[in-house]
Amino acid sequence: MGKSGRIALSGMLAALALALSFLEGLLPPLPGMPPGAKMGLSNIAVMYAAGSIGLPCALGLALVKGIFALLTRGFTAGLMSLSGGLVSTLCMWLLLKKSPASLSLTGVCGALTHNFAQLVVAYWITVTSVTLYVPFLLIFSLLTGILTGSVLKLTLPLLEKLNIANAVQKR
Amino acid sequence: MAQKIKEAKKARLPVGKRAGYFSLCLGAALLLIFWINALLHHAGESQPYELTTFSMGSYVRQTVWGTQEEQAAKLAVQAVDSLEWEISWRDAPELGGEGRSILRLNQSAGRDGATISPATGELLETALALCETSCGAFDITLGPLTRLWDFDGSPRLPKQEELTRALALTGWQDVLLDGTRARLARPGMAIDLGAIGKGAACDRAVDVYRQNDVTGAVVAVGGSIGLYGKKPQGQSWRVSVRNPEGEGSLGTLELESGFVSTSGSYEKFFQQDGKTYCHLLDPRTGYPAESGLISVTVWHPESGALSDGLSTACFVLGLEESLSLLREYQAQGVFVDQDGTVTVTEGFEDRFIRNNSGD
Amino acid sequence: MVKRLNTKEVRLFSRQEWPFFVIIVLVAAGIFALQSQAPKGIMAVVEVEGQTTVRRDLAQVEGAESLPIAGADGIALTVEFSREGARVLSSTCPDKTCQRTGLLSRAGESAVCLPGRVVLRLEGKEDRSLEADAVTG
Repeated sequence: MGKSGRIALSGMLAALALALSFLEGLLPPLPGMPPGAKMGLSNIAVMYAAGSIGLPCALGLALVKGIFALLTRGFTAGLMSLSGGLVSTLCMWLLLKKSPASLSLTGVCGALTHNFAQLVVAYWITVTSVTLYVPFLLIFSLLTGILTGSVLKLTLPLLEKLNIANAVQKR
Repeated sequence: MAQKIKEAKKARLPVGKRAGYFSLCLGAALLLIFWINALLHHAGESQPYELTTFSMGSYVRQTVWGTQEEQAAKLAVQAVDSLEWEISWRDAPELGGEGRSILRLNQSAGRDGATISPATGELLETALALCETSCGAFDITLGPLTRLWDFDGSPRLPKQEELTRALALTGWQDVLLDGTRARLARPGMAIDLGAIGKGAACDRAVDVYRQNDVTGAVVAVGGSIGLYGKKPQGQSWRVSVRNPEGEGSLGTLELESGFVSTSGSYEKFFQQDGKTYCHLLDPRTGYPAESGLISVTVWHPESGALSDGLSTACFVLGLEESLSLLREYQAQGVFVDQDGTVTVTEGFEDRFIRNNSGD
Repeated sequence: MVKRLNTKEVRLFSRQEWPFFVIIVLVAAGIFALQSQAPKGIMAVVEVEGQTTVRRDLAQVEGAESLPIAGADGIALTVEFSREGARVLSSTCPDKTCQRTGLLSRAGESAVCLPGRVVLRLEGKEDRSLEADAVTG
């Protein structure tokens, strides 16, 4: 699989990420959470991209997600999604590629950086009290991070059998 | 193919890795609980419509839950405004005189009387009954006196002879009411419904809520409060009683429905020659009431006008006589005397929660 | 040390990492404990003629902060916010009832300037069930 294959795969992952964040948007907002706090299911796609394809593709995914949020949910949501997405992608890539961290640790760190980057932006834009949410966000990130890691762990064998990532990597 | 994957997975699953799958299930279960909780919370949480307006010489704050809560609140504002129009004694010739029941009645004092609206007639009937039951401690004919003291404008201490003259022009027995026809027996007499106006305004608002599919609402006209229906999650209404001796709250009343009003000497007062004069006048002397009480809060199950009027009557009567008056009206009360002692009627013992701290 | 993301090389959990998760839980619990000691989040709201003009989170106020408010009929008020609560510091209205109300410190309390049509009140930020629905007096 050459360059075109890689682009096609990135596109598929982008579609998956968007579909996942759309699904998340259907769920009601969580009580006690700052506006815009998400489970980050689309992190599964980003994490896979960061681990299997490469940093540029993963950052591209985060960018697409951010633009999607900007278009559908407005400026604040877009900026929050973009900042959270870029920072967490970078963090997950570092952990997966440059350290022996496990999938759950990567997922948790991804969720933590994602949520806290969003929190900073939320504070920066709306100047509301956000410190109140910190403990909830910590626990929430822990749970969702482990969930994303676990889902990836479950799907990895299937993806390997399909031989997509390896085909990309071989080039 | 699927079969192959299944086998491969099985083969690759040593005992140690089961921990991973176990955690996955655990995490999923926790998140599920989280979401169910969130959904439940969300379902029960509906935002009320809140509206602040100014009427009856006071602010009117409404918190309304329902299907057309905004419309109901706005209709309630109209109802309160029209009540003010009917019962205010202040003349505003530029606005016309249509429907100004009490103003017309006062202007016709000593002559053949005036036709009043049915609603005003009912209010006058309720008020006159209270005048009688309270042995004149509550009196709606204090117009000449209140104008002399002028607590709403520039309050001053009237001279003794002025007071004697004004007192001679009061007396609820000289209000002759027959349905929508009313008459004041002597010229110079004037009705002032200020002591029940805010409570009556709560009645009007609650009537509007009843007719507009409101599920729950609180209306506060100054210190008079009307409670209607239920909160979305069915909890009791919480009405905080202001601390008459300083800042903050004396305690909280937990109520299911009804009307609450407070009369307190701290509301409007002025000082002259080292003496404090409050706006709650004793109809028997013409001077501010000195019954030893500084604040009376009264709850009445059905009528805001009565809760308002009763609180004034109790303030004038003092604690002992108030208790029997409240019993007669099946009302409850919270009394604070000048030493700061708080007395609560029997029915309120479980409903009034004192603040422990001084604030 | 460049790795590839595949099942054999990346584990879901690793034994050395559990302290990290424990630390997150402990930090969350610690912050939560600290927060539950601090006073509940209260918003001070200023309304002029029924319109909300100022909303201020009292937990975020440093020291005392005063703010001029322009009411109806040219009446000017000064409102002070602090962590303890909110009060009307001064008013050019004749009756000064709002000033006499003093410090508001609980959600549901309010100070009203009738001539200026200004309402200063405190609102609880989340738990409505504990705040008063109305104040009598």
